[in-house]
Amino acid sequence: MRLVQRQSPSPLHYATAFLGSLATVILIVFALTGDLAVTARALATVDAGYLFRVFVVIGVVSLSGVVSYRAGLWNIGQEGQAIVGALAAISADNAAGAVMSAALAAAGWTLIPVALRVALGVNEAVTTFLMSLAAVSAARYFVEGPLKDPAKKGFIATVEAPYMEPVLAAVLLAGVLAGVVLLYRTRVGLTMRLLSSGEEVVRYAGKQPKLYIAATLGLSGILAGIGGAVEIMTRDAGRYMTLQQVSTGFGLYGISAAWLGGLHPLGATAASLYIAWLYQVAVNLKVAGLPALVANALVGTAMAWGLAGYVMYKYKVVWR
Amino acid sequence: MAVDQVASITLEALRSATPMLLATLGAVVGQRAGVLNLGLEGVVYLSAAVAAAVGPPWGFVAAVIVGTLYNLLYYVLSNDFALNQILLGFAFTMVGYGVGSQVARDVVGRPIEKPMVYGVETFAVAVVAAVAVYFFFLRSRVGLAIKASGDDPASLDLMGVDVYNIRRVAGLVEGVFASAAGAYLVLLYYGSWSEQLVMGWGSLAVITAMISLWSPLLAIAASLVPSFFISLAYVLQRLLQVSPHLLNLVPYVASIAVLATVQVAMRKTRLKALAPRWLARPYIREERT
Repeated sequence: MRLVQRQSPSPLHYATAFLGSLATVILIVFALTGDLAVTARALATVDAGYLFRVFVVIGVVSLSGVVSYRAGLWNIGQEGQAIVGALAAISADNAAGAVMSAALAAAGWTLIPVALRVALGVNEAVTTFLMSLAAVSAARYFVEGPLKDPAKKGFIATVEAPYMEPVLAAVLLAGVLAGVVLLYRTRVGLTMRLLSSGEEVVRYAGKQPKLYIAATLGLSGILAGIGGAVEIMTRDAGRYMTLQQVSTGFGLYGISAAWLGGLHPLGATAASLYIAWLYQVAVNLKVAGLPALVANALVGTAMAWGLAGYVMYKYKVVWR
Repeated sequence: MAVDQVASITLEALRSATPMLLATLGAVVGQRAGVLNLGLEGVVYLSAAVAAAVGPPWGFVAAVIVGTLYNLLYYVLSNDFALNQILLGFAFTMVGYGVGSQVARDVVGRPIEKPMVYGVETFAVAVVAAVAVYFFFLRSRVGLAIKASGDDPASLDLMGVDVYNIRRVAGLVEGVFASAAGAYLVLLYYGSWSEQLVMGWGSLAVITAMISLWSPLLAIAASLVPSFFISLAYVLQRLLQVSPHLLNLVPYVASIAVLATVQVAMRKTRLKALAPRWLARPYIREERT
């Protein structure tokens, strides 16, 4: 088997990846339930309002992925950044303030891997990944300590985050999407994407690569943080964090949508709808008695297909 | 701090250093081959889940088989098919969490009868393994080829060695070490299974491999870094009135800090030559120059 570079990239192969992912998901669900009728029910049951809410959140986080990966920077700490964003939202009074403080908090959280990368050259993939795991412990501290709601008797949870209408969140997503699309039409956005060709290229273009690395990773972190804030604020009920429910998994979902969408802002937003549906399927399975982390397995395979889509987009697979 | 507390931290650290060293050795072999496998976390998690589900003594064997096959799948996808190493590793970790929690859902919280282990003897075994890996790199052709695959795969290819095959061998070795670590965690260290228990070990091993400058002998010392801080957090919990969740942060923060220090030292000295130059870059045969 060989990979031969295509004369011109073929975006159509993201459709192949999408179909491959769909087939994989159907197979997995069937293997888990072992029953055609249950499988069909798990795949077809959809709560439109819920799906819409999840779609908006994944959409915002996926743009965080797009910004980072288009620049050839590997921020995979969206999960941790989203947790920090959600914590900031919990401590805010109103929705607008929550989004602002989530952006600030996530920027601060991302500053650590950014500083390590820019000043010391430490691989950002490793640090952001590890900081996602650290964020879970940090959030549990806040749940038990500073943000604990004394009024909730009998169980440990934070105070409630302000409510945000899902429609308003969709407007926010549209704004962020337009922002990223427009950004890529400016010189700054072009230089950000140029980073993927190597730091030298940016330097030869007369720009400071470190500045752009910091800005790109920072923006990526901010978007993930906003995603986390939107997630907790758009819930119908239970807009708080408990010790068990810190990590929501939306970091992974956003990254997967980014890759399945071909690392294009519009594609990623479209793919977010598919990932949101996968999440709905996982919720249906959870109702049927399967563990919650099955969602990770479903979306993880979708992400692998997204990565495969990128390879097929650039290369032709020759089987001999 | 009293002498017995220092002794208790040391003993604790040695006990938890065994799985850390095993997983680190796996990561060293993989990264020397040029593969930055963040899916190691998933391999450790999945093999631990399998070990818990099957139970001793066959759980160990089953865990190593399943974990190694899972790791090999990662290597085939990320090298033969050139899927992005970092992101695929992330996906493999998430799938590992999902499948692992499903595999072991019936044994959550159920105690597993574990043999009496002090930690010193298992650590000695792991040290022997580390020395073996050292000589494997130093003396064997395959070991040399693994190193070359991480430094200059194109030249290795020109020598007539199949780079993809060599990386598969590295993936096999890495898988065996990482899944042994996962099985050890459940069967000998914790003695029970819950969804949160073994999270983080694999990712810490990826970092310790970098801290050890990809040397199996230095890995012996480097594996003590997170283990020491994990144990320190454990002991401090008993002594201080600090939230256990904050103490859980200690190993992560400390490992990142040590990694940063090591990288600074590397950049200023000739040590930088030790880093595998093709780390995390896919080797695509048609594109060699």
